[in-house]
Amino acid sequence: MNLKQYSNFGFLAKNKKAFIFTLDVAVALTVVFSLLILANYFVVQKTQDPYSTLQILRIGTDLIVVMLHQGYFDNPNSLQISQFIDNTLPERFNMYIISSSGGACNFESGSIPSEDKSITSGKFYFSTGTSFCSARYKIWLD
Amino acid sequence: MLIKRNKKAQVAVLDLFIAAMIFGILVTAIMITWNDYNEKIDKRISQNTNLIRAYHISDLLTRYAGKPSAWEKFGEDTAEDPLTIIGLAKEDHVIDNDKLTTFLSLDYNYTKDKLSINSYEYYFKILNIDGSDFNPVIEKGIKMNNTNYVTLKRYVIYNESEAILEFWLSSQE
Repeated sequence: MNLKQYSNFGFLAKNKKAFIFTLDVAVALTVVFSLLILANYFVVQKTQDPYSTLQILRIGTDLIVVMLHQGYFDNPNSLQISQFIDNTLPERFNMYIISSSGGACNFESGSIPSEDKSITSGKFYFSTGTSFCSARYKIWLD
Repeated sequence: MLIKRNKKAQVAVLDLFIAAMIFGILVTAIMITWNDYNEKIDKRISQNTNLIRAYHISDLLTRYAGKPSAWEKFGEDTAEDPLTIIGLAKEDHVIDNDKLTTFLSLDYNYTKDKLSINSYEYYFKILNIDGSDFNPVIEKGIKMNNTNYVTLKRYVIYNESEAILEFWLSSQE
């Protein structure tokens, strides 16, 4: 009887020990891998290039300055401006210009911006000869 | 009893060995990842520094007249060098033909010195808006075949029509 009891206790004790060890290892591994995944996520997020936005913005401003100089906004023509944008912008680039300052200033050119894209935007001013206008441009990558 | 104790010790040693092995693998993985990210970050910093530098230079070339503003009339005078800053614009984004002609005729190393990029190589080109070359080709500098370069395109007005100013900047490896 004593022997049986001892044996039973021994079996239980062994099982308990094994359970504690397994749980300990499982918890430790979960913690370690969670930390590694978390660290990796933040590192990847931090190393995303913030300068790509700068390049997109520069292309947008350059194009606006060139169009201003070439007189595209002296008497804004939506179709003409859209054609210039299509012919000039590099591949994968899209641009949308809108002016709603009223009267001769109003026009809308380019393609409609997608909602799921990261859009870079800027504002500029121009004169049509009879009125001073402001417009906003949006530029993004496909 | 003695055998049982020995067995226990063996289990404990095996446990320790496995734990040490897992720890070693993790430490190695962390060190490799750390090193990999350090290299990537260093490369990214270098690329971004070059990109910012290239933008500053292209801004000088496309948006400013230079200093003195009529520097093209002096040219490269080694005895008395009046040129402080090179600029090619007569207005914002409008290239001045005289300045461009003088710039193209200047010594490459002299222009590098004036642009404060002695430890870099640069390549400058003006293209038609559709990407085709002018005839004759308007270019200056050295296009390096290494991986450590940045390139950018700026829209400008050249000869009253739209054009592209292409600028490559490469740090010497």
